[in-house]
Amino acid sequence: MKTWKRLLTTAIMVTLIMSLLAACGKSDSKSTEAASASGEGAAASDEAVELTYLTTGDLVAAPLAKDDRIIAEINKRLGIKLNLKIVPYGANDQVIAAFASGDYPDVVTTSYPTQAVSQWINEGILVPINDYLDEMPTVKQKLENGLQWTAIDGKYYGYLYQVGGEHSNYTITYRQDWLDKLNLQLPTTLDDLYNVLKAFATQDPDGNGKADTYGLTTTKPGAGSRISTFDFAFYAYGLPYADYELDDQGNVIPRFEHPAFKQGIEYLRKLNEEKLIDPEFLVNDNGGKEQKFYQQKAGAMDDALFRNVSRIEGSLQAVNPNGVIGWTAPPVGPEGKGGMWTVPKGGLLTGITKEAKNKEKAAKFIEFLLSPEGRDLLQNGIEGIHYTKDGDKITYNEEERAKDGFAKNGWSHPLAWGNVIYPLDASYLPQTEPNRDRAIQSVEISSKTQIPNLVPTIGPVELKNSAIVNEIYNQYFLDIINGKIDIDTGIAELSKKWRQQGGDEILKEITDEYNKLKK
Amino acid sequence: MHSRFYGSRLFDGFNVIILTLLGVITLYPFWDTLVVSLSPLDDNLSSAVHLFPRHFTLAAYDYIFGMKELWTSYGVTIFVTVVGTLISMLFTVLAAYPLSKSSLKGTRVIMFLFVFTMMFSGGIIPTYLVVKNTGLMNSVWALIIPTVIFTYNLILMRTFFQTIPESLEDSAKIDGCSDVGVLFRIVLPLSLPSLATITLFYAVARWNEYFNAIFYITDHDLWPLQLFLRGMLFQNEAAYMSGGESTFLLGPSVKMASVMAAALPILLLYPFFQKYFVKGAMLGAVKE
Amino acid sequence: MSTPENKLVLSKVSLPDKKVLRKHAALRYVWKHRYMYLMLVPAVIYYIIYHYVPMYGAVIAFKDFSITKGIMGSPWAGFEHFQYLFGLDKFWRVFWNTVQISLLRLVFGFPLPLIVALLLNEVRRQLFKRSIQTIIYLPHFISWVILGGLMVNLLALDSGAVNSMLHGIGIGPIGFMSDPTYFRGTLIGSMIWKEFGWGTVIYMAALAAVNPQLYEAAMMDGANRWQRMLHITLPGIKSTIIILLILRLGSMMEAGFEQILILYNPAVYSVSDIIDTYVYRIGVTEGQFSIAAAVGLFKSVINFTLLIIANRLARMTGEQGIY
Repeated sequence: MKTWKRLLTTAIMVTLIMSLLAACGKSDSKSTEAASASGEGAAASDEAVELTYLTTGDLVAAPLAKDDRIIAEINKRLGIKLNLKIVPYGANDQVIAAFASGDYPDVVTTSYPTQAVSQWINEGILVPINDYLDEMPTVKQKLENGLQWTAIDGKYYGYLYQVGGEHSNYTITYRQDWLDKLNLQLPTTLDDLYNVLKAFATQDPDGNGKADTYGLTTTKPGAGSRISTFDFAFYAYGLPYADYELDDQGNVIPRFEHPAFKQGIEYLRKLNEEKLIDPEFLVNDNGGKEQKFYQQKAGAMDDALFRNVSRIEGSLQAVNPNGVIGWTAPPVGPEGKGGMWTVPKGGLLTGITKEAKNKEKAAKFIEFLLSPEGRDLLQNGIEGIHYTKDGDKITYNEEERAKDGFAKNGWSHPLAWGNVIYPLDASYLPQTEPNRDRAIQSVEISSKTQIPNLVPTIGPVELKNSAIVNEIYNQYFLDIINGKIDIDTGIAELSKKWRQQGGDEILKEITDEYNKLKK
Repeated sequence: MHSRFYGSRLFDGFNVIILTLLGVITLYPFWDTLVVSLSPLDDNLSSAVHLFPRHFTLAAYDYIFGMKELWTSYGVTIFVTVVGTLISMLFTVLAAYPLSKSSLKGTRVIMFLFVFTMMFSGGIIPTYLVVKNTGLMNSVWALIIPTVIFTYNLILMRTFFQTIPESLEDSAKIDGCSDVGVLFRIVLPLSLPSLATITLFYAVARWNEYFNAIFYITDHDLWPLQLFLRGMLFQNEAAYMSGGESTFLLGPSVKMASVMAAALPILLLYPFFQKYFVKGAMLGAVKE
Repeated sequence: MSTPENKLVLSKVSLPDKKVLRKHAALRYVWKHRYMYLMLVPAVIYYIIYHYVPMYGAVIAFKDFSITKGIMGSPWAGFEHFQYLFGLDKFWRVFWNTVQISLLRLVFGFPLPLIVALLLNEVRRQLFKRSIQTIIYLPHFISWVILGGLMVNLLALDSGAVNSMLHGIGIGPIGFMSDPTYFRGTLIGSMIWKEFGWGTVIYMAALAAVNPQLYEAAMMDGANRWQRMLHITLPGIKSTIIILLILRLGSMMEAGFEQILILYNPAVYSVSDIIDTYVYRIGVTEGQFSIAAAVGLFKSVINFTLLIIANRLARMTGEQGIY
């Protein structure tokens, strides 16, 4: 009996361990099965080249169905077998880890510029696409008209999509109903803006009998970024460039050494001292900022418009049925200058890795994503299935579109989000958009006042040091507008500290780049 | 005698008041989340504190329960939680028992080597390679096997085993039980509260896990619930940035309904485990 | 085989024999406890494959990592990454912040779950006890993203519920989220708020394992509740408390990355920026595996040292310790 028992327990133990080992074994065989199955698939249609595309995608995109007809259509048109890998939202880390472990896709879309991408380029993991540009007319046209600076020693390592590079939708949004109530116009100058914010803060625009409103609210800066939402004040006083400035001798200097900075920050300090700015704006994320706007706490905020017009006004009206939003160009200074949106120095890079066996097909795939043909397929779908066309009028078949992951109301297929273009840059608004004219007008206004950069690139030194010097900038910016430090002393200290802790190195790099461009 | 009785009563009274207060304070975030998930946009946007739903609506739940992704991610997470917890418990119990015997040679060294891994690791690259080479990439097993034992839980389990009187085990051995027999027949039945606790710890951790999924899963159909939730939480932000489709009219309530949908199933587990935390779980065994 | 002759020879050649004998003894010992060792096998395999095989990667902290050359093939960099790290403008300031915040979390956060568990243990009505137990563990399941949004609403300077209440009794307003004087309090308070209930779970399990006969005996001896708590309950769960304390000390360099990342802002960096948030924010760890590993190693060495000291102290006082 005893031995029997012992045998049994041994057997249980062994089975347990075996089953555990088997658990690993099983998954192993499963994945190899899958791999061989897909391998067979590729072999069956011997023309189809398997193409793995790794992208961080866009959260807004719906997941892809297994039998997605758009992917099938792309496969058919390009003679490829697309293997799409979308990593979860915000997981650029995964892309970096996969690359660092030697796991390369054929085509990748990722943030640019980053130190990781620089490394991929330096180590030859991303390959230049110059040789394939003849196959990529749309990409070529874009690269050679404004994106020349993305080339490194004459070589393009992919197509850079600058979010908001061609158009912008960013300005100050006001409570139009409050302005009307207080008999004020949308402010066009800094003085107007001061008066409007003053009235918002002191004349009880919400009519609740309490002094509980602010003029302007905004958000905290992103990790490693400069506080930039008040930059309109500097541009109004004539700060010419968004990134770096030139002094009288033509030397590259940081923005706070330019006279416009002092004037701008004096203005901001006045707004802050008179409590016209939300005292806790540093606590706000974007949702928090908008909430303050909806909840009658602030009468103005910086925000992106375009297709957000309907969303912001809709939300406002959910709280205040009479709420109306209004906007105009950023306020101008004494010389009539002004602006708010700056051209971004980066975005999303879509490139080809050395792993790609058929680089021509990979290039054709990138071209397709950006080409009018590809845009049409990814926005509208397949004619007759996803939509019907009657002259210029497109009628969507929402039911069929939903099957392939198209977003509602004429928005795109999952593959169209977060790689080579966004609706803003294509000026794309579906015909269903209720505030179409206003949305388009917001883009016209904002795009006209874009502030240029002195140099379009971010070099390796700046990539490494920018977050550290931005911290210093932010600290002094806050200390000055909060009145903790005298303006001149503050700027002088900022200048010294900024230059010491990496700023001088950056300036040197920028100067070199600037001199190269001048030639 | 009387003063002691009153003192005890007074303490009971205070105790109830303090615990009730703590209960109210800790209930608030959950309650607020629930109320927002059940309220329409105008109520949610118009005030910052939500004590009661003024207009009750299930629209947000209709919306998220209509999403296919929610159901696939439920499937993944339930599988990972159930199967993962079972395997983890098996591994942990099997290892914790011998390690609880300080007289057994070598256990201290092994324990030290296990604890060492809590502090030092090779980093993401070699771990990624091991996961890849063991064939777990893009499979649900990647969410289980690479973290099958939590050293923290192993240590706790071992500590609990150590509180069991050796005399009980010795008498079982005299009765002819092997070590394995002692573990399964004597030790485990005596350890129900701690088994329940460690099971709960594993289940909750598996349920809330998303880190491994970010690194090892690219197939959207294998995304666990927490990735779905993260998606819902960041959606408005992303939609704002990119101009994508936004569910703004449901806005906050959809976010909070997602939080509820992601938390409720695992919360329901607790009362079930609670019954093992009753004093005297050992009593019966000891008297036997 | 064992002829007398053999034995004689064996006893003469003494050194290797003892070894053989000892080996036999060891083997016999292992064989006697074979089930015990067999039970360890799955865990040992797991730790080897998923922890010790990848461990070589730690050398990346001393290398200039190149993707194409791999970890082992990358050139050595010595302590360059550590020097860079320690030379960063704010490194030592955020290091001290980490230590201070961690100590505050320990001092205020560690005892509370124990106290609440003891209070719950004294509750006689089971329904009440279970309800409270369930309620206090709820916030553990609400992520910091959600709690952060909630806290901004509750603690807002002008119209937050807390400041409105304080205003009612003539205090404030207090910038809980934006004033460096109060922000650490906000951090510690919210951490406790979220996690103390979850922390009681482990103690409830430990309390359930205390032998009830001891209580019966003590009651017969006329011990009051306080005495029973002091002389039976606490000693009964002492080993659990000590284990948790050692583990807590072994993670002193973890001061709540996710929480701080969500709650902090430039106005309170001076008091809330910890190593993890700092290196994340200035981007030195993104895609830079060598520096990230150096940060990790620096923290690990401190954590490990503290853990070893705490464990040694615990063993000196007769406790089992964690190893």
